Amino acid sequence: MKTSLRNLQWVEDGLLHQAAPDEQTLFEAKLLLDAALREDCRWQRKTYTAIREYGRTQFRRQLEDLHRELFSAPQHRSFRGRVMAFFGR
Amino acid sequence: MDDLKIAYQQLFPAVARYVAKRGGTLEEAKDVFHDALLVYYEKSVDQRGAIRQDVAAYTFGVARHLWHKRYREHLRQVSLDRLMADFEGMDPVDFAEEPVPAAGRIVRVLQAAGEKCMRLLTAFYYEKLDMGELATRFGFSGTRSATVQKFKCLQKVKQVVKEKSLQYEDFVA
Repeated sequence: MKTSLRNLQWVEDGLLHQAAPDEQTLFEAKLLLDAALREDCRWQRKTYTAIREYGRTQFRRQLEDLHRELFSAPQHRSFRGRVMAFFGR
Repeated sequence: MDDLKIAYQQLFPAVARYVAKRGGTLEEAKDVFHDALLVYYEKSVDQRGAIRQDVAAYTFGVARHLWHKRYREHLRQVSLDRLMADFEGMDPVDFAEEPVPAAGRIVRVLQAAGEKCMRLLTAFYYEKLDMGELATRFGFSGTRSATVQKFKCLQKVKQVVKEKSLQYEDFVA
Protein backbone atom coordinates (compact mmCIF):
# COMPACT_ATOMS: atom_id res chain seq x y z
CA MET A 1 0.00 0.00 0.00
CA LYS A 2 1.25 3.52 -0.82
CA THR A 3 2.53 5.74 1.99
CA SER A 4 -0.45 8.12 1.65
CA LEU A 5 -2.89 5.21 2.04
CA ARG A 6 -0.93 3.79 4.96
CA ASN A 7 -1.12 7.18 6.63
CA LEU A 8 -4.87 7.28 6.05
CA GLN A 9 -5.14 3.89 7.72
CA TRP A 10 -2.98 5.00 10.64
CA VAL A 11 -5.22 8.02 11.23
CA GLU A 12 -8.32 5.85 10.92
CA ASP A 13 -7.02 3.34 13.45
CA GLY A 14 -6.25 6.17 15.86
CA LEU A 15 -9.54 8.00 15.40
CA LEU A 16 -11.65 4.85 15.68
CA HIS A 17 -9.56 3.48 18.56
CA GLN A 18 -8.62 0.39 16.57
CA ALA A 19 -4.86 0.73 16.95
CA ALA A 20 -2.72 -1.50 19.18
CA PRO A 21 -2.21 0.13 22.62
CA ASP A 22 1.33 1.39 21.82
CA GLU A 23 0.25 2.84 18.50
CA GLN A 24 -2.80 4.45 20.09
CA THR A 25 -0.61 6.18 22.69
CA LEU A 26 1.73 7.35 19.95
CA PHE A 27 -1.20 8.64 17.89
CA GLU A 28 -2.64 10.58 20.82
CA ALA A 29 0.74 12.06 21.73
CA LYS A 30 1.33 13.17 18.12
CA LEU A 31 -2.14 14.65 18.04
CA LEU A 32 -1.24 16.91 20.93
CA LEU A 33 2.00 18.08 19.34
CA ASP A 34 1.24 18.20 15.64
CA ALA A 35 -1.19 20.86 14.38
CA ALA A 36 -1.11 19.49 10.82
CA LEU A 37 -2.17 16.07 12.09
CA ARG A 38 -5.03 17.64 14.07
CA GLU A 39 -6.19 19.41 10.91
CA ASP A 40 -5.93 16.19 8.92
CA CYS A 41 -7.98 14.35 11.56
CA ARG A 42 -10.63 17.06 11.37
CA TRP A 43 -11.08 16.39 7.64
CA GLN A 44 -11.13 12.66 8.14
CA ARG A 45 -13.86 13.01 10.79
CA LYS A 46 -15.90 15.17 8.45
CA THR A 47 -15.51 12.50 5.79
CA TYR A 48 -16.88 9.80 8.11
CA THR A 49 -19.80 12.07 9.00
CA ALA A 50 -20.53 12.64 5.30
CA ILE A 51 -20.37 8.89 4.56
CA ARG A 52 -22.77 8.17 7.42
CA GLU A 53 -25.21 10.79 6.15
CA TYR A 54 -24.95 9.29 2.67
CA GLY A 55 -25.78 5.86 4.13
CA ARG A 56 -28.72 7.29 6.04
CA THR A 57 -30.06 8.97 2.92
CA GLN A 58 -29.92 5.67 1.02
CA PHE A 59 -31.68 3.86 3.87
CA ARG A 60 -34.40 6.55 4.05
CA ARG A 61 -34.94 6.29 0.28
CA GLN A 62 -35.47 2.56 0.65
CA LEU A 63 -38.08 3.22 3.36
CA GLU A 64 -39.82 5.88 1.22
CA ASP A 65 -40.06 3.37 -1.65
CA LEU A 66 -41.53 0.78 0.70
CA HIS A 67 -44.04 3.27 2.08
CA ARG A 68 -45.10 4.26 -1.43
CA GLU A 69 -45.55 0.61 -2.38
CA LEU A 70 -47.56 -0.27 0.74
CA PHE A 71 -49.81 2.76 0.29
CA SER A 72 -50.49 2.29 -3.41
CA ALA A 73 -50.19 -1.36 -4.53
CA PRO A 74 -53.54 -3.19 -4.72
CA GLN A 75 -52.24 -6.23 -2.80
CA HIS A 76 -51.65 -4.07 0.29
CA ARG A 77 -55.18 -2.65 0.39
CA SER A 78 -56.06 -4.18 3.76
CA PHE A 79 -52.85 -2.89 5.41
CA ARG A 80 -53.54 0.55 4.00
CA GLY A 81 -57.18 0.49 5.16
CA ARG A 82 -56.14 -0.52 8.66
CA VAL A 83 -53.68 2.37 8.97
CA MET A 84 -55.90 4.98 7.34
CA ALA A 85 -58.74 4.10 9.71
CA PHE A 86 -56.66 5.49 12.60
CA PHE A 87 -56.65 8.84 10.87
CA GLY A 88 -60.40 8.73 10.21
CA ARG A 89 -59.97 8.25 6.47
CA MET B 1 -35.92 -5.67 1.43
CA ASP B 2 -38.46 -8.42 2.13
CA ASP B 3 -37.54 -8.53 5.82
CA LEU B 4 -37.83 -4.78 5.95
CA LYS B 5 -41.24 -4.92 4.26
CA ILE B 6 -42.49 -7.48 6.76
CA ALA B 7 -41.16 -5.39 9.66
CA TYR B 8 -42.80 -2.31 8.18
CA GLN B 9 -46.19 -4.00 7.92
CA GLN B 10 -45.95 -5.37 11.43
CA LEU B 11 -44.63 -2.30 13.21
CA PHE B 12 -46.05 0.74 11.47
CA PRO B 13 -49.72 0.35 12.54
CA ALA B 14 -48.86 0.74 16.26
CA VAL B 15 -46.93 3.95 15.59
CA ALA B 16 -49.65 5.29 13.28
CA ARG B 17 -52.29 4.56 15.90
CA TYR B 18 -50.28 6.30 18.63
CA VAL B 19 -49.71 9.43 16.52
CA ALA B 20 -53.31 9.53 15.22
CA LYS B 21 -54.70 9.30 18.76
CA ARG B 22 -52.76 12.43 19.68
CA GLY B 23 -53.95 14.41 16.70
CA GLY B 24 -50.89 13.82 14.51
CA THR B 25 -50.91 13.10 10.78
CA LEU B 26 -49.96 10.10 8.66
CA GLU B 27 -46.95 12.07 7.39
CA GLU B 28 -45.74 12.69 10.96
CA ALA B 29 -46.20 9.01 11.82
CA LYS B 30 -44.20 8.01 8.73
CA ASP B 31 -41.47 10.52 9.56
CA VAL B 32 -40.84 9.29 13.10
CA PHE B 33 -41.31 5.63 12.15
CA HIS B 34 -38.67 5.82 9.41
CA ASP B 35 -36.20 7.40 11.81
CA ALA B 36 -37.02 4.80 14.46
CA LEU B 37 -36.25 2.00 11.98
CA LEU B 38 -33.03 3.79 11.05
CA VAL B 39 -31.97 4.09 14.69
CA TYR B 40 -32.72 0.40 15.26
CA TYR B 41 -30.83 -0.59 12.11
CA GLU B 42 -27.75 1.40 13.13
CA LYS B 43 -27.83 -0.04 16.62
CA SER B 44 -28.13 -3.59 15.32
CA VAL B 45 -25.21 -3.24 12.87
CA ASP B 46 -23.10 -1.62 15.59
CA GLN B 47 -23.68 -4.67 17.74
CA ARG B 48 -23.40 -7.03 14.76
CA GLY B 49 -26.87 -8.46 15.26
CA ALA B 50 -26.45 -8.98 19.01
CA ILE B 51 -28.99 -6.28 19.89
CA ARG B 52 -30.96 -7.30 22.96
CA GLN B 53 -34.00 -5.09 22.64
CA ASP B 54 -37.15 -6.40 21.02
CA VAL B 55 -37.53 -4.68 17.64
CA ALA B 56 -41.23 -3.83 18.14
CA ALA B 57 -40.80 -2.33 21.61
CA TYR B 58 -37.63 -0.49 20.66
CA THR B 59 -38.89 1.11 17.43
CA PHE B 60 -42.17 2.07 19.09
CA GLY B 61 -40.28 3.68 21.98
CA VAL B 62 -38.01 5.63 19.63
CA ALA B 63 -40.91 6.74 17.41
CA ARG B 64 -42.87 7.94 20.45
CA HIS B 65 -39.81 9.81 21.76
CA LEU B 66 -39.18 11.48 18.39
CA TRP B 67 -42.82 12.42 17.88
CA HIS B 68 -42.92 14.18 21.23
CA LYS B 69 -39.67 15.99 20.57
CA ARG B 70 -40.51 17.06 17.02
CA TYR B 71 -44.21 17.75 17.18
CA ARG B 72 -44.90 18.56 20.83
CA GLU B 73 -41.71 20.33 21.75
CA HIS B 74 -41.38 21.77 18.21
CA LEU B 75 -37.81 20.59 17.69
CA ARG B 76 -38.23 19.74 14.01
CA GLN B 77 -34.98 21.34 12.87
CA VAL B 78 -32.88 19.53 15.48
CA SER B 79 -30.75 16.64 14.16
CA LEU B 80 -31.70 13.03 14.81
CA ASP B 81 -28.52 12.44 16.83
CA ARG B 82 -29.28 15.34 19.12
CA LEU B 83 -32.90 14.26 19.59
CA MET B 84 -31.78 10.75 20.42
CA ALA B 85 -29.11 11.84 22.90
CA ASP B 86 -31.52 11.69 25.85
CA PHE B 87 -33.26 8.49 24.79
CA GLU B 88 -32.85 5.74 27.36
CA GLY B 89 -30.31 3.11 26.41
CA MET B 90 -28.77 5.17 23.62
CA ASP B 91 -25.03 4.85 23.14
CA PRO B 92 -23.08 8.05 22.57
CA VAL B 93 -22.81 8.60 18.83
CA ASP B 94 -19.38 8.85 17.21
CA PHE B 95 -18.70 12.22 15.62
CA ALA B 96 -22.02 13.60 16.91
CA GLU B 97 -20.26 16.88 17.52
CA GLU B 98 -19.98 17.40 13.77
CA PRO B 99 -22.80 19.57 12.39
CA VAL B 100 -24.61 17.87 9.53
CA PRO B 101 -25.59 19.59 6.29
CA ALA B 102 -28.74 18.92 4.25
CA ALA B 103 -28.85 15.30 3.09
CA GLY B 104 -29.64 16.19 -0.52
CA ARG B 105 -26.49 18.27 -0.83
CA ILE B 106 -24.31 15.54 0.70
CA VAL B 107 -25.56 12.97 -1.78
CA ARG B 108 -25.07 15.27 -4.77
CA VAL B 109 -21.58 16.25 -3.70
CA LEU B 110 -20.41 12.76 -2.79
CA GLN B 111 -21.62 11.36 -6.08
CA ALA B 112 -18.74 13.34 -7.55
CA ALA B 113 -16.45 10.81 -5.85
CA GLY B 114 -18.06 8.05 -7.93
CA GLU B 115 -20.97 5.75 -7.20
CA LYS B 116 -18.86 2.63 -6.78
CA CYS B 117 -16.69 4.29 -4.17
CA MET B 118 -19.70 5.55 -2.27
CA ARG B 119 -21.33 2.10 -2.30
CA LEU B 120 -18.08 0.56 -1.05
CA LEU B 121 -17.56 3.10 1.73
CA THR B 122 -21.20 2.96 2.82
CA ALA B 123 -21.01 -0.84 2.96
CA PHE B 124 -17.97 -0.64 5.22
CA TYR B 125 -18.65 2.37 7.44
CA TYR B 126 -22.46 2.36 7.54
CA GLU B 127 -23.50 -1.27 7.05
CA LYS B 128 -20.34 -2.28 8.97
CA LEU B 129 -19.47 -5.20 6.70
CA ASP B 130 -16.07 -6.73 7.44
CA MET B 131 -13.35 -6.90 4.79
CA GLY B 132 -14.22 -10.47 3.79
CA GLU B 133 -17.87 -9.56 3.21
CA LEU B 134 -16.79 -6.43 1.37
CA ALA B 135 -14.46 -8.43 -0.93
CA THR B 136 -17.26 -10.88 -1.75
CA ARG B 137 -19.89 -8.24 -2.40
CA PHE B 138 -17.69 -6.13 -4.64
CA GLY B 139 -15.84 -8.97 -6.34
CA PHE B 140 -12.31 -8.32 -5.02
CA SER B 141 -9.78 -11.14 -5.08
CA GLY B 142 -9.29 -10.94 -1.30
CA THR B 143 -9.37 -8.78 1.80
CA ARG B 144 -6.06 -7.12 0.93
CA SER B 145 -7.26 -5.68 -2.36
CA ALA B 146 -10.58 -4.73 -0.74
CA THR B 147 -8.63 -2.82 1.95
CA VAL B 148 -6.50 -0.99 -0.60
CA GLN B 149 -9.57 -0.04 -2.64
CA LYS B 150 -11.41 1.11 0.47
CA PHE B 151 -8.59 3.48 1.42
CA LYS B 152 -8.28 4.75 -2.17
CA CYS B 153 -11.98 5.60 -2.06
CA LEU B 154 -11.67 7.18 1.39
CA GLN B 155 -8.83 9.35 0.12
CA LYS B 156 -10.92 10.43 -2.87
CA VAL B 157 -13.96 11.26 -0.75
CA LYS B 158 -11.86 13.08 1.84
CA GLN B 159 -10.52 15.28 -0.95
CA VAL B 160 -14.06 15.98 -2.23
CA VAL B 161 -15.25 16.82 1.30
CA LYS B 162 -12.30 19.15 1.77
CA GLU B 163 -12.85 20.96 -1.55
CA LYS B 164 -16.59 21.29 -1.05
CA SER B 165 -16.28 22.37 2.57
CA LEU B 166 -14.01 25.18 1.50
CA GLN B 167 -16.44 26.05 -1.28
CA TYR B 168 -19.65 25.89 0.75
CA GLU B 169 -19.43 26.88 4.38
CA ASP B 170 -22.42 24.76 5.38
CA PHE B 171 -21.13 21.54 3.83
CA VAL B 172 -20.08 19.43 6.82
CA ALA B 173 -19.10 22.71 8.44
